[in-house]
Amino acid sequence: MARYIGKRVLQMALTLFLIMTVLFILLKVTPGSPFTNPRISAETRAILEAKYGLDKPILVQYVIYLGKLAQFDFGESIIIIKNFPVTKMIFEPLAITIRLGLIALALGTSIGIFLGALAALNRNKFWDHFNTIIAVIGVSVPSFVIATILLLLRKEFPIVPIIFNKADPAKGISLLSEIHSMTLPILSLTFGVVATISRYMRTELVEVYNSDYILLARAKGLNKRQVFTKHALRNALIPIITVMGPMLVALITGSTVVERFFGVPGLALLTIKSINVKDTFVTLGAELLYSAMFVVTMLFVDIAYGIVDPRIRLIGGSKND
Amino acid sequence: MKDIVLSVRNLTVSFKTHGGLVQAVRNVSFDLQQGETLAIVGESGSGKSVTSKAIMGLLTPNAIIEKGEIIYNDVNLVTLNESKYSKYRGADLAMVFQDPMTSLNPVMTIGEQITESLMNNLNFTKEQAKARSLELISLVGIDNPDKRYKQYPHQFSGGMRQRIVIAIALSCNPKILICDEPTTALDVTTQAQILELIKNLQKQLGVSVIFITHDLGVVANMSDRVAVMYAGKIVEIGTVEDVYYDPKHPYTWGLLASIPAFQAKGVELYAIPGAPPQMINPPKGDAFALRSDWSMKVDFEYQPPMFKVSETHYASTWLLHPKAPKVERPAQLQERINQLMHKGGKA
Amino acid sequence: MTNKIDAANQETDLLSIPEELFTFEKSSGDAEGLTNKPISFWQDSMRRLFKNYVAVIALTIIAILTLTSIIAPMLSNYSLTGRVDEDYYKFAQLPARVPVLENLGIFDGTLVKEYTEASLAEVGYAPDEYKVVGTFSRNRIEYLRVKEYTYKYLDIEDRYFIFGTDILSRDIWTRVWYGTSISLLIGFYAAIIDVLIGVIYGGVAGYFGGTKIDDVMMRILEVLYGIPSIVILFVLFMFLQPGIVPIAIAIALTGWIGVARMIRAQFLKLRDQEFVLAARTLGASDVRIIVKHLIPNVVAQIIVMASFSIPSAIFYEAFLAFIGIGLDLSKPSLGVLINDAISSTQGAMTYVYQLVIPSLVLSILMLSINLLGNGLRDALDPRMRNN
Repeated sequence: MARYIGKRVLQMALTLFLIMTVLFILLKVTPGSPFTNPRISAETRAILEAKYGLDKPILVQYVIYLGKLAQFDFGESIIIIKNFPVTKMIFEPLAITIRLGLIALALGTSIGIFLGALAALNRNKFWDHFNTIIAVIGVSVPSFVIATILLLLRKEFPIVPIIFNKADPAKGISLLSEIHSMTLPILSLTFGVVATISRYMRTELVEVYNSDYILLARAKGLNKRQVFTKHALRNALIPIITVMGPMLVALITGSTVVERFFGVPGLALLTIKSINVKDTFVTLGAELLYSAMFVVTMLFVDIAYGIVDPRIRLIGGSKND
Repeated sequence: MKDIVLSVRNLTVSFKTHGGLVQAVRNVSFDLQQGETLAIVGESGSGKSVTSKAIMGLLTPNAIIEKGEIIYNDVNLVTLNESKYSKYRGADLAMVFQDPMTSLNPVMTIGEQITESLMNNLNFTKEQAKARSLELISLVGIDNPDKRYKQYPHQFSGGMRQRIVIAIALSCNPKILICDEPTTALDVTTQAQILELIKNLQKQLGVSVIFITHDLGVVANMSDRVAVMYAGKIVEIGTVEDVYYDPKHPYTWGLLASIPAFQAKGVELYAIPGAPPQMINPPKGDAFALRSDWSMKVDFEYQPPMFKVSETHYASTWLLHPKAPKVERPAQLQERINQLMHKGGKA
Repeated sequence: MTNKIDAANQETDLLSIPEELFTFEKSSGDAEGLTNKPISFWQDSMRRLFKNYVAVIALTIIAILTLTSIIAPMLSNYSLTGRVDEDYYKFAQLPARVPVLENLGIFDGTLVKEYTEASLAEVGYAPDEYKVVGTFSRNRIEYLRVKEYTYKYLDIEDRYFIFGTDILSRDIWTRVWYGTSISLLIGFYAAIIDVLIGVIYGGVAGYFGGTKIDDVMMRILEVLYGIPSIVILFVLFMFLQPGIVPIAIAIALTGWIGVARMIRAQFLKLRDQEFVLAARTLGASDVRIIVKHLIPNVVAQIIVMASFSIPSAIFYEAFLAFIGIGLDLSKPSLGVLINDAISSTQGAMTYVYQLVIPSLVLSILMLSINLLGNGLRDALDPRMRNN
């Protein structure tokens, strides 16, 4: 197991390094610089570029950036907040985005597992059809349409706040009131999670119930409740773990839509802003973070899967496609 | 006559499918005696597995028990609801399934899976259950019970897993053990070991066994009585001697003739022509008539009743009717039966 | 034993069966029971598909939407970007109005607006130009909900705009259908491209499975898989010119990995089967084996994957449009239209139809394609069905 994790971590580091290199080169060779602006004269631009080291050859810039990265320094913002360290700039939005994603994931997974189990245990009855409808709508209706519907509903029934309220102990705004102010964004994201997880849960549970070991459990004399809690549930939940990782990443990257829609100052909004103004290091830092989150989440999923599924735990996680 | 532990009366089971109602089991009746092994033989789709699942109350939700009774301890099991039925399973009725590779829960240790049954049915404490589990693991012939107890199913071979399933089945001293083709999924040497194990345990514990198989060769030295099923009905039932040495039903003849072990060198292996009828609209008369070389007009009109051959031997074929023409078994088959009797004496 | 009793009870009846029935007769029926003509895989699949009424309805809806998206803009009197009338101020934000349907109370050219008593008087409606439908209070001020007969109020009762007009007085009907065709095009292009890349890459890796080539190709795939698609899209949009094909390519570049993995797995499985070994023994070349023996065996899965690729590409495009990168306003897809409507109406309830109509068309389109995809999967590859 340790060897396997070591191998995976190495692979992960390599992937991130490659992504970083490719992103760096791509960002550097795109036409234009942060100072491409009709109001800035050619001379001023040359001075500014020299000041930030943007006139040096790409390779030199790359080596400098690598050196900074080694000290967990993502460089400095040039446009959005002048000379502000990217590391600090990214921290707040990232925390907001992750909070948003995690809450939606937790809420959506719980509801999804519940609905999926309900559907599997009542096949071809009301809850099963309900589950199917949710699943189909979930994959077919884009999140911004759901966000729109929620917004319209909110207009009719103004029971939740709509303006983002950043947690700030200094102003006496608690984390809870920030989360409260994110009710609509959270709900918009939750819907998709519920749709996916409930469908998955249903399929898994139906499959588990068709398996021989459930028959054996019943033949042992376990009653319905024991069969469900001791055998069916656990076996059906294991594959759910594999979808949760990609799901979290999808939530974090997919929160772009709700961030924009509800004006939540998360990482995606910052990324888009930085692309538009060509604030290279902010873009680079944000995208590296996205990639890192993705890769690390996938690793955690694999490890978690190994822990709950003894078949993988002992073989040492060899995967066969 | 010995005590009867289980009595199945006119059991009729159908399945709702897209194509219509499949009549899987039709009017099946038999008794299981204390301490005996009854083999139910038939090809796939003959209803033998459905019969066994019906006894265990483990039919799929689309199955309907149209009529009939399954009487155990003066209780008609068919009338029980799921929670009452579950009290009988494990404690009184136990079952071993066909595929040991899939019948153990992959994410629970062997120990958990055995103790679960003991704690649930016999109210054992954890320690008692563990001690008994270790005994059971040894009993089914697995070494190192302490180590094995903590392992997961994937660390066991197919034969070992089947031993564990047998241990689970026997853990609570059931009165009746149903083995549903317990060796079909195993290789030949393992098959022999598992059969030996079941036979020994049956003698040791005195449990009554219903042994489901499609292999007449396996039946011969395993069982006391044999029921042959075809198209959802029992077509012949009797002691092993009755069915092997004096078969009356043309289908039994076909089955016996097609056992490879019976074949002399250079003789082409016999195969019953045709395929079993589809059970959505089973034939009006004798279901085997279409494939039989001895079918009469009456076979296409009426279903044959059970004709009594002797106190222990019954067969369902019109050939036993007094008005039917006298028919001899095919000479080749008779010759083989004679050889077998000579060689094996009494089974 | 009951058997005995059964036999005894029936004894009398049994003897009454006429003697002549006990004569041998060979069965006339076919014992094998194989009377049905064999049908091909595709015939069988299509039969299964057309039995699935959900899939048939979905297919019909897709056909109607596609045809309308082609025909409607051609037949329309208005252009994509042109104003519907010179008096553009008057013709901006007109509600939807359809002949016949207007008599039923829907698409009847009315808007619900909010006024206070005073501001209502200021507008100066004629009595038949409005109707008060409700009241509510906000911040302790009483408001009236007023249904305005817009077309009558503006004296343009001879005009009909099926889906109304937007803030720049452009015809929404024309724009929505134009947008639908753009979205569909992007979906098709992206699906074709990602299936093409996926099949070639996965096919080569799978065919050479276990060798160095496969190993290297899978390593590359693993690295690519480690990049979140949003990063790929962000980067690509720094380079690509906005346009249908570049967007389709960008979306396909994030989607082909799944296809490649699936094809590789299938090829690995098929490669060792007897019919491939037989072909190889007979001296067939690698290319011939891939094209003639392996690909035909995965066509069903490819079709299923492509059918799920289309809605996901449409979705991605709409998503990109929504976050403000992607197509420009000269070629508006449904996503661009929705985004445009959100910013121009500022979420005002009165003009919400401008947002609802493209959203509804997009959702129905996605829903239908997904349902058809499910149907195709069930019909072509019953093993993939999840009960």
